[in-house]
Amino acid sequence: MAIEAYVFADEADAQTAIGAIEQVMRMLLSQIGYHIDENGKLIGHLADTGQENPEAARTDHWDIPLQLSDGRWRVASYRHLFTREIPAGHSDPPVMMPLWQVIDSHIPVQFTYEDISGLLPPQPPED
Amino acid sequence: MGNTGMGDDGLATGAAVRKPVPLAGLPPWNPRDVANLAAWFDATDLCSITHVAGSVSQWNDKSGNGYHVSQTVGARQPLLNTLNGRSALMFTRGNNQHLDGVSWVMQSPTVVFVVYQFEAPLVNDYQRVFQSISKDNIRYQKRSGSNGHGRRMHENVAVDSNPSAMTTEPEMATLVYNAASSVMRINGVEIVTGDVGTKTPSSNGLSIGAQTDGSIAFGGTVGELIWYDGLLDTGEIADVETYLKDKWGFP
Repeated sequence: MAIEAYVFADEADAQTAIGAIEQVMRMLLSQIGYHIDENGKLIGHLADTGQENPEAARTDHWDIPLQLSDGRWRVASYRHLFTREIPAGHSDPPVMMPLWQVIDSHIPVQFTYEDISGLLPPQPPED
Repeated sequence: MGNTGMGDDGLATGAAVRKPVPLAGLPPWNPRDVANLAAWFDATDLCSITHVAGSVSQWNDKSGNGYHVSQTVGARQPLLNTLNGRSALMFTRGNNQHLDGVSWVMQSPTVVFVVYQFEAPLVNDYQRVFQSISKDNIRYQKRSGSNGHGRRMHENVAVDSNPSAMTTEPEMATLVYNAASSVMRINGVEIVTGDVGTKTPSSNGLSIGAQTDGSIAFGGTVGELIWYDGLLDTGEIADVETYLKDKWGFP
């Protein structure tokens, strides 16, 4: 089963990318009603009513980089969360672009997007 | 639950049933009706789930003990999904998705019920459905493909099911962690007994979907997890199993 992810040459690039991704995500999520607290953490909503739940755990990072078996570093994909399309630029008719592509465009370091299912770190011995 | 009818006194009849059937207007039977409920996670109760754009940051314990599990890293949060047509949480193995709760001193012996489904096809890796945060304590997992998959319950010693019976269909596991008298039941049928040993002191906190560091991640869906401190009698086990079977549509 394919596991698609963003892949970076080193950990520093992966961390840089996560910082950029989080910045855009906060902007996008705030536009659809999610609030960000004074520490930059996202406040979740109750699944039944959609109301904000400030009592629950808050989301503080998008991901933690994980080193792959070939030495590169992966950051989890967010493409499944941001599939909605928005107009890109000011052309007429507008060119539509999925939100994940907007986030991708803000990553300031080189990356690839690939299937890492064969590159996950080996598991510890089964116990 | 597990009742076969109603007697003149309003009590259910049948050997496995000791509790009154709820009368009209009273709340239906639920896991709190069995004593020593430690934790109850129910994904069909959307009041118990907090999310950001479908990624679940907290799943509340409905037992009243406040043993909620949560995840603050977005990519590691499971997603709202379904299992047998009911709301459930989907854990993506490649993203190390899991929920943790730390404020819980577990007891042993203990009985755990869990409704889940492994993603298809089964992958070679072994995968934790849940475990105590002290990873060498109470846990339940799929074994690796090199060991023929299969299910494993483990406290100090492993007890394994027959590997050939492993499927990716939704299922309900009943896990009695009771030293030499431990039992694994799948969909209400006993499939293996054995000795899981004991650990003293017992473990602290629960992780659903992986170890707390995200390794040994589970790929699949969890619908409900019910945890009792101490042992249940056969009638009580039947009550909980019937409740879960009826709710999740198991045969």
